[in-house]
Order: sequence, then structure tokens, then C-alpha cells
Amino acid sequence: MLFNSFEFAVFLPLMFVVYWYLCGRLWRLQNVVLLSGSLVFYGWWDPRFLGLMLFSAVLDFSIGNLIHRSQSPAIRRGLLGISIGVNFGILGVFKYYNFFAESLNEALELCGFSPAAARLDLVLPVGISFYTFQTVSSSIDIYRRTLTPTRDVVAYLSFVTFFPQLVAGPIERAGHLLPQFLTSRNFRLCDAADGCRQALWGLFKKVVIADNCAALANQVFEFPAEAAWTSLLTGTFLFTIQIYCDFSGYSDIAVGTARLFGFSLMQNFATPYFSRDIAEFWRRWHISLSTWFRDYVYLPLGGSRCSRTKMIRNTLAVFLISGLWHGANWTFIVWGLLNALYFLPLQLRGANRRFTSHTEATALLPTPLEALRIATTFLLTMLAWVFFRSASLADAWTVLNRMFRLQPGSELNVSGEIWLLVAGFLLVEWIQRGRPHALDWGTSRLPLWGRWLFCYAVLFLLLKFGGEQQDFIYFQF
Amino acid sequence: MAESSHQQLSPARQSPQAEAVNDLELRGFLKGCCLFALPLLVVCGPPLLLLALSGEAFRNVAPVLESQIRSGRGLIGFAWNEQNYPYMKYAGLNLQPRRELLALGSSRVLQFRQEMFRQSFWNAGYTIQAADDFREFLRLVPEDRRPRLLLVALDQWMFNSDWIAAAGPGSSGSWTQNPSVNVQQGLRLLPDVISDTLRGRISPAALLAERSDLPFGLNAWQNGKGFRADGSFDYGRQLKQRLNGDPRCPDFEFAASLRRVQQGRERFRYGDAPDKAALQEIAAFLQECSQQKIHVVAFLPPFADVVAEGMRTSGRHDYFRQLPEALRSVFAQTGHELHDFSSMSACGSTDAEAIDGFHAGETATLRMLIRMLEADSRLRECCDGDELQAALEGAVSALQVYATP
Repeated sequence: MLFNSFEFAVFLPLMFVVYWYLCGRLWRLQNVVLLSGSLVFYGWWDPRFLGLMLFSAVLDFSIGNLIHRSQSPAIRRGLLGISIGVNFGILGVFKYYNFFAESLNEALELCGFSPAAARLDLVLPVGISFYTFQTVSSSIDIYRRTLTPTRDVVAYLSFVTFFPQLVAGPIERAGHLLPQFLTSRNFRLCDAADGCRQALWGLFKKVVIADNCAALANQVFEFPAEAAWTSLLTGTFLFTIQIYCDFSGYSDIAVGTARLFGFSLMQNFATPYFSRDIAEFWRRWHISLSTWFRDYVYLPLGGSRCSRTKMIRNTLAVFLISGLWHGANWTFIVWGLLNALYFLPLQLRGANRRFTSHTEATALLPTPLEALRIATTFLLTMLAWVFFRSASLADAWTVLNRMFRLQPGSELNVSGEIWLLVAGFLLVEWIQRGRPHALDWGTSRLPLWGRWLFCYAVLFLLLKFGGEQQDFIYFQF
Repeated sequence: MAESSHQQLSPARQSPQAEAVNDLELRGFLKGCCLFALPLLVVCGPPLLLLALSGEAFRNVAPVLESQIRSGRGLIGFAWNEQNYPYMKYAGLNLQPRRELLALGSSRVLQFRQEMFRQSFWNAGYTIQAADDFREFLRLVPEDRRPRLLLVALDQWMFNSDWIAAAGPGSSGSWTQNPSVNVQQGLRLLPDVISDTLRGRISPAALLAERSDLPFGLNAWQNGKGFRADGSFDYGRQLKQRLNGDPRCPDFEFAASLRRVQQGRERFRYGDAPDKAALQEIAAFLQECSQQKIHVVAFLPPFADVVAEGMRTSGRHDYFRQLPEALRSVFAQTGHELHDFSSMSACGSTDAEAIDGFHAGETATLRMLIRMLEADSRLRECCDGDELQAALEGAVSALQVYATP
């Protein structure tokens, strides 16, 4: 079920009523309702894969408890190995098998051998990368003794399948989200109202900005060899906006929806395009994934507290794995590598933690130096998105080659309305950059009617400029 | 995380005090939601009702179409949901027994009516956007529904490379899916309905008026504009506006079309020579028709004389001048027919009989048909020339031959 679908518009109020009114505040019963609702939500797409998700969740629930009970380091390590092996094995088969098989075949053909690996006709289960990371991290945390496992299987399954964040994150840690399933939840009016506004803003980002930008960016990236350099530049810019609005829009809807049910999810984006360097960008972009890689890959490898060579290795590993996580294609690997190359000079100079807060949040406009830094970071990320969006490395090369050599070709027509919407959106995000979401009024002196009017205006734009319904980009990951 | 302590400490339900606070906050939230929704209901409720009652949105067009075809009465015309039309045309074809004659093309073929033919006819206009669409459409038609004769309008812009690139893929894919049941599509219309109602373009009172033409869709209700039971199109109030010289009439005095010709925009984009791939596609289409024993009567539909002249003399629409000859060589030796009616005068008509810059009215269409018969077209098998001539002489107006419906 998509957040931007009619089905979800019916599903959500129904869940809300059953959850708060029919469960009589019995939190265990509420968990049963959430679990059932989440299974319906996921099964709406394809019920065949419910079994796979439940298998993964039950396996980690059992292994977590076994690790906790065992005192033998060898057994604990073995159990953790099973959890990681099985989960990443499933992920590997569904998501990466064909990629590695094709790459192997190409390599063999280059060496004059005949292809050895057969291609499998597999459908990638929606959200598999997200829930796999979530369940694996719970097993690792139990192994590290930073988490005590629950014996309540319904609570654990509700945590893994929690519908707001099931298919595209944020990737929650058991230490943060699971305890919320093990206690009674309070309905807080201010939380729920703010959650509604956050979800509304997320929907606006997805339906109005991302979907409209997608229609234009797709035209360019579908036939890059025919597009003029100006079209390619515009298309890349629009994709840069699209991917942010698509993914952060989903996160906003997820966080806002969770708040309606008394849950708090982590912030996944913090206006990353206003970052002043690439290190800051990665602290603000897909925060739940970046911190996951930091805690479960980068730090175990030694982090930055080791030799420079190892530090470079660790950073490269994290970015390459991050690229591969996004998709089984060389384009994603190059995208990861490019970001590592942006990041490493900062890290080697010890300048990667120079900008850790919204220092510019106090001023209406950035200083010229800040503006230059923001623009440079934005252009660097735009360049990297070319690889992310292109269907193949050859296509990405065509885009960059034509763009930098100012090649003529077919022009992309972008209406004034689209430019106005994108500009208006960036302006609102800039003004509200210090807040968790753009419709968080905080201590603003805006009167109630003014706030409502703003929400009505957003609703109007949703109806007026809602693009063709499209899947969320991150569903494929 | 200390889960075990949670399990021990968390009671199965909240304390009565906490529950009371929760209830209070829940009530406050619901009250806030209702208050927030109230203005929305006031503003959006009537337009939603208007959309649903008129049939413009939220209602399935399929059963309405079926009943229209069965009864031979009714008008289906949407003000915004025009994407329903390609589906309607394809579905309509499948709802009836095999038609002897099928009109196929864009909106420029829509003035052919059952009244003009003695044999069974279905106007499948509004289905074709690009040259590729002809073959695609025909392949989708079940064998027992394929016609013996095809009356095909070859829009000139289908052979303009620049337009082909700008228009993107053709209509294929839109024929088999019924978009009228898409609720979101309907919701998206709300801002337009509200703003058009405020501007006085929509009169909700029209819905209350007694009507004998069984309208479905806002355009049918409001303007008497829509598709008839034979698939032909009734321009309704627009015809009166055009005949009365009302400046609100679309493309008044062909000004919009002429502007587009001058600026090389939309369907009037500049082009040097007919697109070779499109010509080859037509050749392949004719070959497939021959294999299926379907005879094609194709024609180049007319532009208003001033518009056609504008294209001929612009110096940047050379493809338009070269097209008839290029197509003639495609049709040569195939046994199929091609008639060139690129301008109103080529049909023996004048601009007074054009609905707008690129749509001939019913009268001009009848003239075209008579000219085809005079040129010994196979259409003689299903037309009575004398009857048509008599109908032309008794035409209701310069734009309409037969009284509606």
C-alpha cells in the first residue's frame, strides 16, 4: 500500500479508530492490532512475501533470546553468525544474485570462457533492505549486551513490521523503538497534531514536488544521448530535488503517522541540501542508514582511531557498501565511491566535523562564504546523483560527457509553475531549516488561523499540482 | 534496553487518571480534526457532489457506455477527464457486433456519423495520436470485431519529426484501461471545478435542468458536448457560439491556430520533410490491413483555408507541402485509397464550415465523403450518394447536417 494512495487514506483512519477506541488502551491488544494492520499494509503489495518477512523476524527473535541466554562466547558468536548469514543470505539472493551472476558472466566472457551462472527470475521484496537491517541490528545489539531481548513475540513482530516505517525506513534500532511496544502509549494532542502536519508536508514533498520533477527528469534520463546539455543539467537538478523530496517525504509521512499511534521514530533527514560540506551532508541525509553503517560497519572496522591507511579503507568500505545497499548495479557502487572521494579529503584533514549544527539557522540569509559552500556541496551531490539515476555507467558517462561538452539536442520544457513550486519549496525548507519538519511551528507567533491557512494552501497545492502517482524511489531498495 | 523490567512494570492498561487525560486529548484531537475539515467540506463538498452527479468523476463510464450503445441514446462528454475517451472507443467497439465500417483517427475524424452510411458503423476517433498507433490499435481488435472497411484520418503532424519527438509515445496502453474509476484522478479536479465555478464557467443549475439527451459528464451536461451512441462527436453549444460569431468560442477567427503556425508551436511545429519512420509505419499498417482483407480509405483531414495557407507560406512547414506526394507513393500499388483534403477548399467547402483551425464541421465532412464517392471510393458500398447529397442540401447549418442526435 502506498502512502500516496486512496487505499491508505481509508486504511489510516480505520487503524486509528480501532487502535485508540476499540483496544481500550490495552497495549498488548494494540500491538496485535498494529501487527495485523502492518501485515495487511505489506500484503497489499504482494502477500507472498509476508512469509519471508515473518521468517526473518521470528528467526531474529529466537536467535536474540538464545544469544541472551547463552554464556558461551562461541555459541553466542555462532548464533549471531546464523542471524547475519541467513538475513544477508536472503537479501543477497533476492537483491544481488543476478547482479553478481551477470558480472561474473561478463568477466568470464571477457576472458574467453562461456557464462557459468544462470540468471534467476526473482522479484525483489519491497523493503527487504530496511527490515533486514533492522532485525540484524537487534541481534548484534543483543550480542554486544547493549540490548536485552524481549520475550513478547507479538511486540517484536510489531516492531519489525511497524507499517509506517516498514518499507522505506527510517531504519529503527530495537533499543529505541522496541521499548515503545512494551509499554502503554499515551495519546498526546500536540504530538498527534504535529504528526499530521509532518505527514501533510511529507505528502506535499512526494506528490507535488517529487512526482512532478520525476516526470521531467525521466524524460531526460530515458534518452540521454538525445538531450541537450541544458536539458541534462536541468534534468539532473530536478532529479536532485526529486530524490530528496521522494525519500524525505516518505520519512516525514512515516514519522508523522507513527506519532498518531503514540510512537516516536528517529529523524531521517535534516535539510541536507543546505550542508556546507559533504561530511555535513552525510550527517543530514538518510541519518538512520548512515548511523547504522557507522555503528555496525565503520566502528567495528576500527573507525578513525587507527592508522590512516585503515581509516581510508574503513571509509571506502562504508561508502561502497552504502552504494551497494541502494541497488545491485555498478552505478550505485560508483556513486558510493564518488561520495567517498568527496569525503576522504575532509577526513584526512580532520575537517569532517567542522559543521555539526545549523549555525546559519540564526540568520535569514547565509553569509557569502556559507552560500558558496552550500552551492559547492549541492553541485557535488548533483554530480553524484547522475550515477545514481542513470540506468548504466555508459548512460551516466553520456550524461556527463554531453553536459560538460555543452552538446546541443532536444530541449526539456519545464513550465514556470514547476520552477515556482520548487523555489517556493526550497524557500520554506530554508526558513524552517532548524526544525524537524517544515510545518513544525515551534514557538512561532503565527496565529492558529494563519497556521490552518497554510495547511489549507498545502492541501490545495496537493490537489492542484499532484503529479501522476508514482512509487517511492526507495521502495526498490 | 531493559525489556524484562518493562514487562514487569508496565501494567496491561493505563491507570484511570492517565486514561482520563488520554481521552480528553483524543477528544480534543478529534474536535480539531472536525473543525479543520469543516471549511474543507463546505468548499469541497459541493464540487465533489457536482463531479459525482454529473458523472465527470468517481463513476464508472463502462456501464453508461453500454447502455448508450444499447439504447442508441445519450451523450457522454467530459470537461476534464478526456483520458476516458480512448478507453470508451475501444470498449465501444467490443460491446457491439462486428461493424462493417470503422472510422479511425484523432478528433479530426469524429464528424462521420452513422446517418451517413447504410451499413453498420462505429466512429473510433480520438484513439490515435501517432502513426504507430494504427497498427497497435488494429492488433488489439479481436478478429471477430475487425471491420471490412477502414476510414482513416492521417493527421499531418503525425509526419512531423519535431512533433513526434515532443508528443512522446502514442496512445497505445490507454485503450484497454478504464481510468474513470480512478478516485485520485477525480480528487485532482477539485481546484479546477472550484475555480471554474467561481468564474461562472460552470453552472451547477445545469444539472437540475430537464434533459432528453441523457448526458453523462460535465461537458455533456453543461455544453451539450460529447460522444453520441455511434461514437461521433457533438460539439453542442460550441457550434452555436461559432455560428453566432461569439468571441468566447475556442480558436475564434482561427487566431489561436494562426498564432501557433507563426510560432511553430504544438501541432503546428516547424518541419522540413515528412518523417520517414512515420511513412514506413503507414506502409506497414497498409500491408497488415491487406493481409487481413481490410480495405483502407485514408484521407488527409482539412485545416481552415487560412491556416493551411499560413503553413504553406511560412517557409518552415515544408513537410506539410511535401506530405501528400510522399503519402501517395506509400499508397501506390497497395490497392488502398488516399484522398487529400488538406484544406477546407479541397473538400469543396469554406472556412465557414470549420469548427476551428483544424477541425472540419459535419457539413464539410459530408462534402469530403461525397468527394470520395465521386472519386470512385470503395465507400460506395456503404453509402447512397443521392441520399447524402439530399442531406447536404437540407443541412441544419453550416456546421451541422443532421439534427441531434
